[in-house]
Amino acid sequence: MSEYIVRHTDVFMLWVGALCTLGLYSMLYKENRIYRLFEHLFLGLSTGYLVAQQWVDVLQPKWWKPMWEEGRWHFIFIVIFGSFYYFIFSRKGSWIARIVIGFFLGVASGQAFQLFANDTWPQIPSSFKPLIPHPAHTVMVDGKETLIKELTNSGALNNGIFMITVFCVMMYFFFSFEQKGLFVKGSAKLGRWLMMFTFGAIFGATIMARLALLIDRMDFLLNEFGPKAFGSAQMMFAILLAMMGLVLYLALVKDKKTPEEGEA
Amino acid sequence: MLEPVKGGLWYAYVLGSLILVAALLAVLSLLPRRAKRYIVMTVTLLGGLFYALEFFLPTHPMMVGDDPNADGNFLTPFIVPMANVLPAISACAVGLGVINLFQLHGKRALKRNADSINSIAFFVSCIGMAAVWIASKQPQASPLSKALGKILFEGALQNLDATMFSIIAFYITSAAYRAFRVRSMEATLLLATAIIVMLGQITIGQLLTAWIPPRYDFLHVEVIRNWILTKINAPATRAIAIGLGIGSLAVGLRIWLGLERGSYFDE
Amino acid sequence: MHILRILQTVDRRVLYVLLMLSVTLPFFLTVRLPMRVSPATQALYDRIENLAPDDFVLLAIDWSAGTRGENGPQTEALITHLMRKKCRFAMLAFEPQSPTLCQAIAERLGKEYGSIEGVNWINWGYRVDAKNFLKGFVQDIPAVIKTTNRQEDVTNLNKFPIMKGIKTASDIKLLINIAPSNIYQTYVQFVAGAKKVPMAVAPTSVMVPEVFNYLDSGQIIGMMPGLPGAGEYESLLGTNTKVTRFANSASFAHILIILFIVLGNVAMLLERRQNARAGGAA
Repeated sequence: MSEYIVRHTDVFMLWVGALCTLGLYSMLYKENRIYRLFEHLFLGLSTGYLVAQQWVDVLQPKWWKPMWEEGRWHFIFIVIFGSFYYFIFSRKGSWIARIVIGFFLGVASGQAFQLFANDTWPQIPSSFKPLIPHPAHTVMVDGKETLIKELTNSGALNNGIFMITVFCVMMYFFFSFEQKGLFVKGSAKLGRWLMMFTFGAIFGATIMARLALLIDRMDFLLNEFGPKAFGSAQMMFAILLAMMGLVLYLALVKDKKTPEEGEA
Repeated sequence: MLEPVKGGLWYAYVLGSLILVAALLAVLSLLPRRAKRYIVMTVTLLGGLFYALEFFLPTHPMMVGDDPNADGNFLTPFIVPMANVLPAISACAVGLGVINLFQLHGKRALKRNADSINSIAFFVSCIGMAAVWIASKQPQASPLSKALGKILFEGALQNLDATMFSIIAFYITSAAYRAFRVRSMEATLLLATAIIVMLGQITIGQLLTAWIPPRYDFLHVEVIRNWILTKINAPATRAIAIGLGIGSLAVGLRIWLGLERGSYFDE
Repeated sequence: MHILRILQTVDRRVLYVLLMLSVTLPFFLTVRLPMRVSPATQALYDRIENLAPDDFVLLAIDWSAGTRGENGPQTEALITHLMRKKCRFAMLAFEPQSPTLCQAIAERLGKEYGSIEGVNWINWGYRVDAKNFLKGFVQDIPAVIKTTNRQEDVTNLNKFPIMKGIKTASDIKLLINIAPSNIYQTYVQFVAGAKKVPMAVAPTSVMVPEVFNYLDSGQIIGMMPGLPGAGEYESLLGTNTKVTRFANSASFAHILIILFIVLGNVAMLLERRQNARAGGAA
């Protein structure tokens, strides 16, 4: 048996993959038992994998090996301190869990300065852009000749739009004083409109992100699984078509007789 | 004292450490609630102090690791040991989620109703995956454990993960069709931008404006998309990011100094 | 039911079937439409093109099978380019699935381009607690990395000659983060920003709009934006993998979604006008 599995690993992989894919897609018709079973299998497999990988790549080389194989006994304090987390399950001892949680919160807070200095801070000066068009020229910076790129009229206009957008969106989130007066209110309103461009862009990009995942799945069924299991992608496409037809029949004919369970 | 030891001495040190910490915790447990709170606040402050001081204190040229050209202060040499120890401590927390899941599904499996089979499937797949993956990663792993590891990871887990997230494509299509209505100025701007961005990122969309001569390049849909992303979206995102950055710094300071109120700090 | 109402309330299963058809049917098309390369992708390509052979690149791989549709082709395109340029590269992950997924890609492409594990590339595996880890990593890479994904000592230069001369973050000529999350910000904060390492990002499409902020400020030097970015990169590399095939499916599915949005809106506006007229007449 074990030899058979080893020899046919790729075949098993493909069939298991196709079953898992179609099992989860059964949800598209409606919530059902098959979907729930595969959903729980997914939860179990990902949890098991996470635990195993955490042991194999982190705890084994960084804690177990130095402590057990190299004899560094003081590494026991790593697991003692780490075990404090588990006091969270005890009502009486939950304060012990707060020691380790508090320690890591403190560590994160202490790093917040570096985080701000390297991430947010450089964005502030780069928000101030030149607004007057000029040809390319060189200037001396710290004794070195530095090239300043040409700024065209359209470039200057774009820089202006950039700065106005930063200002207006910040204005929209400014609640330190009441937003009244034409300038404050107007710029906050413009800020809200400008944010809509961002949200629209995020929506458009999200569509691509989700479709890419669906395309990858269909590619697996049609071009990886289909040719090996049924001889061709066309054959698999025909099977998929039959499945789609069945879903449409169940949805439009059979379900019309019973009330719908809910819209996605 | 911290030198590696072997045999009985190793067991003695490890056991001694465990007893010492247990005794210390037992003594500390006798303290009043207020004192315990101060202990937690002190540990929080000390945890942050190391990285804050290391960042703020003046630096001077010094040897760090094997790098002779590095800059640092007296705390800098401790950064590498901290980078080895802290992730190992964090990794210990992996069991928290697992215990929660086991508690939940243990109860469900024992109920013996229609859902029990799902919880049993969870246990079997979780324990099976962990055992097979650890076995397949050992230096003398058997061909069977390697094959099973491949089937479970590449066959099952990968495909389940990819499919689960791909289902969102269907929902987002349905939601866009049902909810995306031009009912206000904001919704109209959002919709128009979304359509331009969508057209600009696909080949057919780019083909629609491909006939426009290069002189009017700015009218090509992909150029308009790029303009929106770089000249409107980037500054709007930046304004939000700057606000978030300042806010995070303020929250970080409050937590570090124990000023934050709420269920975590007050009880 | 009135036709305008029907157009606004099509059963969701009908939409699902149409979406599935719009994705699967184009697989059988042989037409390949050209894709214009965006400046962000071109910048990343140029940066790698200007690397010298043997320059060391860190591929920060932080994706799982859940985003394989985008991050997979991105990883393939980048590894292909690095192998062609004969650059050395290491893979490091803060996502547990990533080392296994990327190991398979690197092994497959390695056979094609004669790139050897341990000599030309290395997989450092999975780590946790990114911030604390990276803080030490930039100072002393071998002391913090310690082992590969096979639990072998990285300081063994006979086995891993790729590690020769790799001590600190200053030895990294380019850092590329392939991720569906904002882990790239952690790399900006603790590696690129702290040690002035040039950094590029290959995010999923959903992350693309926010990365433009970092591109403008110069904190990131280039980007491969999602699946379209992988397609653009392939056209620059001159390779023709399944990404090119995916472009047709993406196009048809996008057009379908746009049509549905327009249809729903037109039906709503017409119905509203009709109702207003009926109200006026009453």
